[in-house]
Amino acid sequence: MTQISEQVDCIISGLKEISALSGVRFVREYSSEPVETPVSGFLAAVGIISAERSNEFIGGDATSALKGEMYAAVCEIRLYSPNGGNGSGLSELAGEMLAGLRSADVSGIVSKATVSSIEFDTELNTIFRRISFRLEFCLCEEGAT
Amino acid sequence: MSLIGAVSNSIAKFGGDVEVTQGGSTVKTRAIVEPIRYKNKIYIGGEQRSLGTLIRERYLYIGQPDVPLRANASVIESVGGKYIVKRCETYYIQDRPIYVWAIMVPFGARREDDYDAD
Repeated sequence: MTQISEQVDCIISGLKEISALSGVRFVREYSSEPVETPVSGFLAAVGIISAERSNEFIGGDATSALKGEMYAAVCEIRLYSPNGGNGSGLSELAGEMLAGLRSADVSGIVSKATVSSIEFDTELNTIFRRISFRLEFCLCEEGAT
Repeated sequence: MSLIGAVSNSIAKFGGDVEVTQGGSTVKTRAIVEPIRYKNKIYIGGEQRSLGTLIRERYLYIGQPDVPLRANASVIESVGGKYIVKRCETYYIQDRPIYVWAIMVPFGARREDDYDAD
């Protein structure tokens, strides 16, 4: 999933440039590192929850010279609120991420984005929201005839 | 010796040196720290969570009553490891605190941003 991961990394880098999100740390999902206990600031776990690839002609009727593969994936960011903060600011940051995807998506590949309702993690004793978005992009073969 | 003094002396005698950090302050005291043994002693392994590996070990803390603890805030460092308090209570006889009891889990250090290094 290297191609998809690279696109997700670009989008996360774009989100990190948004000043309202400067206090959020982004980590890769399911790391081998221990869970931060307690969660000491806004922490966003980034993961790809599904992916698909299909071979198809991109050019269609216009030209058969262009062909490549179509990729689609759903990325999820779990945004955790700091422990003891009563969840203050979580929804605002989730909204900033949702809106910020427009500027972070420099390649124009995000086709849909949603924010979940608030959920509670009993083990970490903190709340979180899921921001998920769908990516769709093509990788064309160079010089295809 | 009063019961109150006996409990405190027992903790001082049988407990180990610990550092209790909460907020910006650290207090050195003595406390008994021991693993909680689940049924059949099955407490191996952990759980993969989106934020990392969750170690499911639990530890018991019995400490001096003059060092109050706060759940999800107090960090205890002993010779055996570093822990975060998940639940704590102070036991009293009449109105006098006798000892502080807590359930702790292994402390998980603050995560660095994975995308800063990219």
